Amino acid sequence: MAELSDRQLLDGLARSEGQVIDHFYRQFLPGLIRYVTSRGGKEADARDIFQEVLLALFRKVRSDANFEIRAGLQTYLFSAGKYQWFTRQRRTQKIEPLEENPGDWHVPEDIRDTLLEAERFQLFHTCLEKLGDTCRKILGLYFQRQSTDEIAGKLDFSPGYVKKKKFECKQALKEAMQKDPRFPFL
Amino acid sequence: MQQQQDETIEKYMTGAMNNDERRAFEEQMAGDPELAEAIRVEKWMQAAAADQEWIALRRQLQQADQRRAGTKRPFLRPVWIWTSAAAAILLLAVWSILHIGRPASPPDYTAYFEPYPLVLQQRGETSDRPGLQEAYRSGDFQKAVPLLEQWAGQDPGDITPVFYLGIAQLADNHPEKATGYLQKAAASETAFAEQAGWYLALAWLGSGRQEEAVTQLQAIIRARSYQWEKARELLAVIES
Repeated sequence: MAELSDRQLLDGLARSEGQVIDHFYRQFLPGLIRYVTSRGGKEADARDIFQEVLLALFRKVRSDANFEIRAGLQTYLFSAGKYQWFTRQRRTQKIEPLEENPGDWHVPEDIRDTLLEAERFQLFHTCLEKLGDTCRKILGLYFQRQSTDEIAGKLDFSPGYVKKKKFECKQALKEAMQKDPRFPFL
Repeated sequence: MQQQQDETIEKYMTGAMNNDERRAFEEQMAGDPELAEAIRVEKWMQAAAADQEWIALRRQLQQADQRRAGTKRPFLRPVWIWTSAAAAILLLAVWSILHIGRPASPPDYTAYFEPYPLVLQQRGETSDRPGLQEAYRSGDFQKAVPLLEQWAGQDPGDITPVFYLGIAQLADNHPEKATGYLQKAAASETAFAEQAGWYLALAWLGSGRQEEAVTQLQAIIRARSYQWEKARELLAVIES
Protein backbone atom coordinates (compact mmCIF):
# COMPACT_ATOMS: atom_id res chain seq x y z
CA MET A 1 0.00 0.00 0.00
CA ALA A 2 1.41 3.41 -0.97
CA GLU A 3 2.24 5.88 1.78
CA LEU A 4 -0.94 7.64 2.85
CA SER A 5 -1.28 11.05 4.41
CA ASP A 6 -2.98 11.52 7.77
CA ARG A 7 -5.97 13.01 5.95
CA GLN A 8 -6.27 9.97 3.67
CA LEU A 9 -6.02 7.65 6.66
CA LEU A 10 -8.71 9.53 8.57
CA ASP A 11 -11.00 9.56 5.52
CA GLY A 12 -10.36 5.84 4.97
CA LEU A 13 -11.16 5.11 8.60
CA ALA A 14 -14.39 7.11 8.31
CA ARG A 15 -15.36 4.85 5.39
CA SER A 16 -14.21 1.70 7.29
CA GLU A 17 -11.85 0.75 4.46
CA GLY A 18 -10.26 -2.62 5.23
CA GLN A 19 -6.85 -1.72 3.78
CA VAL A 20 -6.70 1.48 5.81
CA ILE A 21 -7.65 -0.38 8.99
CA ASP A 22 -4.91 -2.94 8.28
CA HIS A 23 -2.50 -0.02 7.82
CA PHE A 24 -3.46 1.40 11.23
CA TYR A 25 -2.71 -1.95 12.85
CA ARG A 26 0.59 -2.45 11.03
CA GLN A 27 1.83 1.08 11.46
CA PHE A 28 0.66 2.21 14.86
CA LEU A 29 -0.13 -0.78 17.10
CA PRO A 30 3.45 -2.12 17.57
CA GLY A 31 4.55 1.16 19.24
CA LEU A 32 1.70 0.98 21.72
CA ILE A 33 2.41 -2.70 22.44
CA ARG A 34 6.05 -1.81 23.20
CA TYR A 35 4.93 1.01 25.50
CA VAL A 36 2.40 -1.07 27.43
CA THR A 37 4.51 -4.22 27.75
CA SER A 38 7.52 -2.21 28.91
CA ARG A 39 5.35 -0.95 31.78
CA GLY A 40 4.16 -4.30 33.03
CA GLY A 41 1.09 -4.64 30.80
CA LYS A 42 0.26 -7.44 28.45
CA GLU A 43 0.04 -7.34 24.67
CA ALA A 44 -3.69 -8.04 25.01
CA ASP A 45 -4.09 -4.85 27.09
CA ALA A 46 -2.43 -2.84 24.33
CA ARG A 47 -4.65 -4.42 21.68
CA ASP A 48 -7.80 -3.67 23.70
CA ILE A 49 -6.73 -0.08 24.21
CA PHE A 50 -5.85 0.34 20.54
CA GLN A 51 -9.31 -0.89 19.58
CA GLU A 52 -10.93 1.62 21.95
CA VAL A 53 -8.81 4.44 20.54
CA LEU A 54 -9.76 3.52 16.95
CA LEU A 55 -13.46 3.29 17.84
CA ALA A 56 -13.27 6.74 19.43
CA LEU A 57 -11.33 8.22 16.52
CA PHE A 58 -13.81 6.69 14.05
CA ARG A 59 -16.68 8.34 15.94
CA LYS A 60 -14.88 11.69 15.76
CA VAL A 61 -14.18 11.54 12.03
CA ARG A 62 -17.69 10.30 11.26
CA SER A 63 -19.30 13.12 13.18
CA ASP A 64 -17.00 15.85 11.86
CA ALA A 65 -15.73 15.55 8.28
CA ASN A 66 -13.25 18.38 8.91
CA PHE A 67 -11.83 16.82 12.05
CA GLU A 68 -8.12 17.55 12.07
CA ILE A 69 -5.23 16.40 14.17
CA ARG A 70 -2.63 19.13 14.45
CA ALA A 71 -0.06 17.05 16.33
CA GLY A 72 -0.02 14.35 13.63
CA LEU A 73 -1.91 11.09 13.57
CA GLN A 74 0.90 8.97 15.05
CA THR A 75 1.37 11.34 18.00
CA TYR A 76 -2.37 11.54 18.53
CA LEU A 77 -2.92 7.77 18.54
CA PHE A 78 0.04 7.17 20.79
CA SER A 79 -1.06 9.90 23.22
CA ALA A 80 -4.61 8.55 23.32
CA GLY A 81 -3.27 5.02 23.88
CA LYS A 82 -0.98 6.20 26.69
CA TYR A 83 -3.85 8.13 28.22
CA GLN A 84 -6.05 5.02 28.19
CA TRP A 85 -3.28 2.90 29.67
CA PHE A 86 -2.61 5.48 32.39
CA THR A 87 -6.34 5.70 33.14
CA ARG A 88 -6.61 1.91 33.51
CA GLN A 89 -3.57 1.79 35.76
CA ARG A 90 -4.78 4.65 37.92
CA ARG A 91 -8.13 2.90 38.43
CA THR A 92 -6.53 -0.29 39.61
CA GLN A 93 -3.85 1.70 41.50
CA LYS A 94 -1.16 -0.56 40.20
CA ILE A 95 1.25 2.26 39.48
CA GLU A 96 1.42 5.96 40.00
CA PRO A 97 3.61 7.30 37.22
CA LEU A 98 4.50 10.68 38.70
CA GLU A 99 6.33 11.92 35.66
CA GLU A 100 3.33 11.37 33.41
CA ASN A 101 0.44 13.75 33.69
CA PRO A 102 -2.44 12.93 31.32
CA GLY A 103 -3.31 16.60 31.23
CA ASP A 104 -0.12 17.23 29.27
CA TRP A 105 -0.96 14.83 26.48
CA HIS A 106 -2.45 15.80 23.16
CA VAL A 107 -5.81 14.16 23.87
CA PRO A 108 -8.63 16.68 23.75
CA GLU A 109 -11.38 16.51 26.36
CA ASP A 110 -14.05 15.59 23.82
CA ILE A 111 -12.31 12.41 22.72
CA ARG A 112 -11.78 11.44 26.35
CA ASP A 113 -15.56 11.22 26.68
CA THR A 114 -15.73 9.14 23.50
CA LEU A 115 -12.99 6.86 24.83
CA LEU A 116 -15.08 6.29 27.93
CA GLU A 117 -18.08 5.49 25.74
CA ALA A 118 -15.89 3.07 23.73
CA GLU A 119 -14.84 1.32 26.95
CA ARG A 120 -18.49 0.87 27.95
CA PHE A 121 -19.27 -0.48 24.49
CA GLN A 122 -16.32 -2.89 24.61
CA LEU A 123 -17.15 -4.16 28.08
CA PHE A 124 -20.74 -4.86 27.08
CA HIS A 125 -19.82 -6.75 23.91
CA THR A 126 -16.95 -8.66 25.53
CA CYS A 127 -19.30 -9.89 28.28
CA LEU A 128 -22.11 -10.62 25.81
CA GLU A 129 -19.77 -12.79 23.71
CA LYS A 130 -18.93 -14.92 26.74
CA LEU A 131 -22.56 -15.95 27.25
CA GLY A 132 -23.94 -19.16 25.80
CA ASP A 133 -25.39 -19.36 22.35
CA THR A 134 -29.04 -19.31 23.46
CA CYS A 135 -28.51 -16.28 25.69
CA ARG A 136 -26.77 -14.37 22.91
CA LYS A 137 -29.61 -15.12 20.50
CA ILE A 138 -32.34 -14.14 22.94
CA LEU A 139 -30.57 -10.98 24.08
CA GLY A 140 -29.63 -10.07 20.51
CA LEU A 141 -33.31 -10.04 19.58
CA TYR A 142 -34.31 -8.38 22.86
CA PHE A 143 -31.91 -5.51 22.23
CA GLN A 144 -33.43 -5.17 18.75
CA ARG A 145 -36.62 -4.35 20.64
CA GLN A 146 -38.34 -7.60 19.70
CA SER A 147 -41.16 -8.65 22.03
CA THR A 148 -41.10 -11.89 24.00
CA ASP A 149 -43.65 -13.41 21.59
CA GLU A 150 -41.59 -12.38 18.55
CA ILE A 151 -38.41 -13.86 20.07
CA ALA A 152 -40.28 -17.06 20.91
CA GLY A 153 -41.55 -17.30 17.32
CA LYS A 154 -38.13 -16.74 15.77
CA LEU A 155 -36.24 -19.13 17.99
CA ASP A 156 -38.92 -21.79 18.23
CA PHE A 157 -39.26 -21.52 22.03
CA SER A 158 -42.33 -21.02 24.17
CA PRO A 159 -42.98 -17.41 25.32
CA GLY A 160 -42.78 -18.54 28.95
CA TYR A 161 -39.32 -20.01 28.40
CA VAL A 162 -38.12 -16.88 26.59
CA LYS A 163 -39.38 -14.65 29.41
CA LYS A 164 -37.57 -16.70 32.05
CA LYS A 165 -34.43 -17.19 30.00
CA LYS A 166 -34.23 -13.53 28.99
CA PHE A 167 -34.21 -12.49 32.64
CA GLU A 168 -31.54 -15.07 33.51
CA CYS A 169 -29.39 -14.04 30.55
CA LYS A 170 -29.65 -10.36 31.39
CA GLN A 171 -28.68 -11.09 34.98
CA ALA A 172 -25.69 -13.14 33.81
CA LEU A 173 -24.64 -10.33 31.48
CA LYS A 174 -24.95 -7.67 34.17
CA GLU A 175 -23.04 -9.80 36.67
CA ALA A 176 -20.23 -10.33 34.18
CA MET A 177 -20.04 -6.59 33.55
CA GLN A 178 -20.13 -5.75 37.24
CA LYS A 179 -17.34 -8.20 37.98
CA ASP A 180 -15.00 -6.37 35.64
CA PRO A 181 -12.70 -4.03 37.61
CA ARG A 182 -13.45 -1.22 35.14
CA PHE A 183 -17.18 -1.29 35.80
CA PRO A 184 -17.31 1.17 38.76
CA PHE A 185 -15.46 3.77 36.67
CA LEU A 186 -17.62 3.56 33.57
CA MET B 1 -39.10 -9.64 42.79
CA GLN B 2 -35.99 -8.86 40.77
CA GLN B 3 -37.63 -10.16 37.63
CA GLN B 4 -40.64 -7.95 38.29
CA GLN B 5 -38.39 -4.91 38.68
CA ASP B 6 -36.62 -5.83 35.47
CA GLU B 7 -39.93 -5.98 33.63
CA THR B 8 -40.91 -2.57 35.05
CA ILE B 9 -37.61 -1.11 33.86
CA GLU B 10 -38.23 -2.58 30.39
CA LYS B 11 -41.68 -1.02 30.36
CA TYR B 12 -40.16 2.35 31.29
CA MET B 13 -37.39 2.07 28.72
CA THR B 14 -39.70 1.11 25.86
CA GLY B 15 -42.07 3.97 26.62
CA ALA B 16 -44.90 1.55 27.44
CA MET B 17 -45.86 3.42 30.64
CA ASN B 18 -48.59 6.01 30.69
CA ASN B 19 -47.81 9.50 32.02
CA ASP B 20 -48.90 8.77 35.59
CA GLU B 21 -46.93 5.52 35.74
CA ARG B 22 -43.85 7.18 34.30
CA ARG B 23 -44.02 10.11 36.74
CA ALA B 24 -44.43 7.75 39.71
CA PHE B 25 -41.56 5.56 38.49
CA GLU B 26 -39.26 8.56 38.04
CA GLU B 27 -40.07 9.75 41.55
CA GLN B 28 -39.26 6.30 42.87
CA MET B 29 -36.02 6.34 40.89
CA ALA B 30 -35.01 9.71 42.38
CA GLY B 31 -35.20 8.25 45.89
CA ASP B 32 -33.73 4.84 45.13
CA PRO B 33 -30.06 4.84 44.05
CA GLU B 34 -30.12 1.11 43.31
CA LEU B 35 -33.01 1.52 40.91
CA ALA B 36 -31.31 4.53 39.31
CA GLU B 37 -28.15 2.43 38.84
CA ALA B 38 -30.19 -0.40 37.28
CA ILE B 39 -31.66 2.09 34.78
CA ARG B 40 -28.20 3.48 34.03
CA VAL B 41 -26.87 -0.02 33.23
CA GLU B 42 -29.96 -0.82 31.14
CA LYS B 43 -29.43 2.37 29.11
CA TRP B 44 -25.74 1.51 28.74
CA MET B 45 -26.59 -1.97 27.41
CA GLN B 46 -29.27 -0.66 25.06
CA ALA B 47 -26.90 1.98 23.65
CA ALA B 48 -24.02 -0.49 23.17
CA ALA B 49 -26.30 -3.06 21.52
CA ALA B 50 -27.85 -0.53 19.16
CA ASP B 51 -24.63 1.07 17.95
CA GLN B 52 -24.49 -0.61 14.54
CA GLU B 53 -21.63 1.57 13.29
CA TRP B 54 -19.38 0.57 16.14
CA ILE B 55 -20.50 -3.06 16.01
CA ALA B 56 -19.52 -3.29 12.33
CA LEU B 57 -16.23 -1.47 12.92
CA ARG B 58 -15.40 -3.60 15.97
CA ARG B 59 -15.75 -6.74 13.86
CA GLN B 60 -13.45 -5.24 11.23
CA LEU B 61 -10.92 -4.23 13.87
CA GLN B 62 -10.91 -7.73 15.34
CA GLN B 63 -10.34 -9.22 11.89
CA ALA B 64 -7.52 -6.76 11.16
CA ASP B 65 -5.96 -7.61 14.52
CA GLN B 66 -6.19 -11.32 13.75
CA ARG B 67 -4.62 -10.79 10.33
CA ARG B 68 -1.80 -8.78 11.89
CA ALA B 69 -1.24 -11.44 14.55
CA GLY B 70 -1.26 -14.12 11.86
CA THR B 71 1.42 -12.42 9.77
CA LYS B 72 3.72 -10.90 12.39
CA ARG B 73 7.08 -12.46 13.02
CA PRO B 74 8.65 -12.22 16.46
CA PHE B 75 11.81 -10.17 16.66
CA LEU B 76 14.83 -12.42 17.16
CA ARG B 77 18.38 -11.36 17.96
CA PRO B 78 20.95 -13.02 15.60
CA VAL B 79 22.36 -15.27 18.33
CA TRP B 80 18.88 -16.56 19.04
CA ILE B 81 18.27 -17.24 15.37
CA TRP B 82 21.22 -19.66 15.31
CA THR B 83 20.33 -21.19 18.66
CA SER B 84 16.72 -21.63 17.55
CA ALA B 85 17.81 -23.14 14.24
CA ALA B 86 20.09 -25.61 16.00
CA ALA B 87 17.32 -26.55 18.44
CA ALA B 88 14.85 -26.99 15.57
CA ILE B 89 17.25 -29.30 13.70
CA LEU B 90 17.81 -31.33 16.86
CA LEU B 91 14.08 -31.60 17.52
CA LEU B 92 13.47 -32.59 13.90
CA ALA B 93 16.11 -35.31 14.16
CA VAL B 94 14.58 -36.68 17.38
CA TRP B 95 11.10 -36.50 15.89
CA SER B 96 12.23 -38.31 12.70
CA ILE B 97 13.76 -41.12 14.75
CA LEU B 98 10.58 -41.53 16.77
CA HIS B 99 8.09 -41.16 13.95
CA ILE B 100 9.86 -42.58 10.93
CA GLY B 101 7.44 -44.59 8.86
CA ARG B 102 4.51 -43.27 10.91
CA PRO B 103 3.19 -40.17 9.18
CA ALA B 104 1.16 -37.99 11.57
CA SER B 105 -2.45 -37.59 10.56
CA PRO B 106 -4.56 -34.56 11.44
CA PRO B 107 -7.44 -35.05 13.89
CA ASP B 108 -10.76 -36.05 12.40
CA TYR B 109 -12.92 -32.94 12.15
CA THR B 110 -16.11 -34.98 12.40
CA ALA B 111 -15.29 -35.72 16.05
CA TYR B 112 -15.78 -32.00 16.74
CA PHE B 113 -18.62 -31.37 14.33
CA GLU B 114 -22.25 -30.98 15.24
CA PRO B 115 -24.66 -29.43 12.72
CA TYR B 116 -25.77 -25.96 13.74
CA PRO B 117 -29.52 -25.97 14.56
CA LEU B 118 -31.67 -24.69 11.74
CA VAL B 119 -32.86 -21.28 12.91
CA LEU B 120 -35.17 -19.62 10.44
CA GLN B 121 -35.44 -15.89 10.89
CA GLN B 122 -39.02 -15.60 9.78
CA ARG B 123 -41.74 -18.09 10.40
CA GLY B 124 -42.88 -17.96 6.77
CA GLU B 125 -39.53 -19.27 5.59
CA THR B 126 -40.36 -22.82 6.59
CA SER B 127 -43.58 -23.00 4.66
CA ASP B 128 -41.97 -21.26 1.67
CA ARG B 129 -39.35 -24.02 1.46
CA PRO B 130 -41.13 -27.30 1.97
CA GLY B 131 -38.89 -30.15 2.94
CA LEU B 132 -35.86 -28.16 4.04
CA GLN B 133 -36.62 -28.19 7.72
CA GLU B 134 -37.49 -31.88 7.62
CA ALA B 135 -34.40 -32.83 5.60
CA TYR B 136 -32.03 -30.76 7.70
CA ARG B 137 -33.38 -31.78 11.07
CA SER B 138 -33.50 -35.45 10.15
CA GLY B 139 -29.85 -35.31 9.04
CA ASP B 140 -30.59 -35.87 5.34
CA PHE B 141 -28.04 -33.32 4.14
CA GLN B 142 -27.88 -34.64 0.59
CA LYS B 143 -31.51 -33.65 0.29
CA ALA B 144 -31.00 -30.36 2.16
CA VAL B 145 -28.17 -29.12 -0.11
CA PRO B 146 -30.22 -28.59 -3.32
CA LEU B 147 -33.01 -26.94 -1.30
CA LEU B 148 -30.50 -24.55 0.25
CA GLU B 149 -28.92 -23.89 -3.16
CA GLN B 150 -32.34 -23.04 -4.49
CA TRP B 151 -32.90 -20.64 -1.58
CA ALA B 152 -29.47 -19.03 -2.10
CA GLY B 153 -30.31 -18.57 -5.78
CA GLN B 154 -33.61 -16.90 -4.96
CA ASP B 155 -32.11 -14.53 -2.34
CA PRO B 156 -28.51 -13.87 -3.36
CA GLY B 157 -28.15 -11.20 -0.64
CA ASP B 158 -29.25 -13.51 2.17
CA ILE B 159 -26.35 -15.09 4.03
CA THR B 160 -28.55 -17.61 5.90
CA PRO B 161 -28.68 -20.27 3.12
CA VAL B 162 -24.96 -19.71 2.43
CA PHE B 163 -24.12 -20.47 6.07
CA TYR B 164 -26.31 -23.57 6.12
CA LEU B 165 -24.88 -24.77 2.80
CA GLY B 166 -21.47 -24.73 4.50
CA ILE B 167 -22.84 -26.72 7.42
CA ALA B 168 -24.67 -29.19 5.16
CA GLN B 169 -21.55 -29.78 3.02
CA LEU B 170 -19.49 -30.38 6.14
CA ALA B 171 -22.11 -32.75 7.49
CA ASP B 172 -22.14 -34.57 4.16
CA ASN B 173 -18.34 -35.06 4.32
CA HIS B 174 -17.46 -32.44 1.71
CA PRO B 175 -15.31 -30.05 3.76
CA GLU B 176 -13.58 -28.67 0.67
CA LYS B 177 -16.96 -27.61 -0.75
CA ALA B 178 -17.92 -26.10 2.61
CA THR B 179 -14.97 -23.68 2.85
CA GLY B 180 -16.22 -21.22 0.20
CA TYR B 181 -19.65 -20.91 1.79
CA LEU B 182 -18.26 -20.60 5.29
CA GLN B 183 -15.63 -18.03 4.32
CA LYS B 184 -18.41 -15.90 2.86
CA ALA B 185 -20.58 -16.31 5.97
CA ALA B 186 -17.64 -15.63 8.32
CA ALA B 187 -16.80 -12.41 6.49
CA SER B 188 -20.40 -11.19 6.62
CA GLU B 189 -21.73 -8.84 9.24
CA THR B 190 -24.55 -11.10 10.28
CA ALA B 191 -25.51 -13.11 13.32
CA PHE B 192 -23.96 -16.18 11.65
CA ALA B 193 -20.47 -14.75 11.17
CA GLU B 194 -19.09 -15.95 14.49
CA GLN B 195 -20.53 -19.45 14.20
CA ALA B 196 -19.26 -19.68 10.62
CA GLY B 197 -15.73 -19.04 11.95
CA TRP B 198 -15.79 -22.24 14.01
CA TYR B 199 -17.19 -24.36 11.17
CA LEU B 200 -14.66 -22.83 8.78
CA ALA B 201 -11.85 -24.06 11.06
CA LEU B 202 -13.31 -27.57 10.84
CA ALA B 203 -13.68 -27.27 7.06
CA TRP B 204 -10.01 -26.23 6.69
CA LEU B 205 -9.01 -29.18 8.86
CA GLY B 206 -11.12 -31.62 6.87
CA SER B 207 -9.68 -30.26 3.60
CA GLY B 208 -6.15 -30.95 4.78
CA ARG B 209 -5.35 -27.25 5.14
CA GLN B 210 -4.02 -27.47 8.64
CA GLU B 211 -2.21 -24.13 8.63
CA GLU B 212 -5.42 -22.25 7.85
CA ALA B 213 -7.27 -24.33 10.45
CA VAL B 214 -4.70 -23.42 13.11
CA THR B 215 -4.86 -19.70 12.26
CA GLN B 216 -8.65 -19.79 12.40
CA LEU B 217 -8.69 -21.67 15.72
CA GLN B 218 -6.21 -19.22 17.22
CA ALA B 219 -8.43 -16.34 16.14
CA ILE B 220 -11.48 -17.98 17.74
CA ILE B 221 -9.63 -18.54 21.02
CA ARG B 222 -8.23 -15.01 21.07
CA ALA B 223 -11.64 -13.46 20.47
CA ARG B 224 -13.35 -15.87 22.90
CA SER B 225 -15.93 -16.34 20.17
CA TYR B 226 -18.34 -19.17 19.43
CA GLN B 227 -16.98 -22.60 20.57
CA TRP B 228 -13.69 -21.12 21.73
CA GLU B 229 -13.24 -23.78 24.39
CA LYS B 230 -13.67 -26.55 21.83
CA ALA B 231 -11.29 -24.64 19.57
CA ARG B 232 -8.68 -24.64 22.34
CA GLU B 233 -9.14 -28.37 22.82
CA LEU B 234 -8.83 -29.07 19.10
CA LEU B 235 -5.77 -26.83 18.75
CA ALA B 236 -4.08 -28.72 21.59
CA VAL B 237 -4.75 -32.00 19.77
CA ILE B 238 -3.35 -30.62 16.49
CA GLU B 239 -0.25 -29.27 18.19
CA SER B 240 0.43 -32.36 20.28
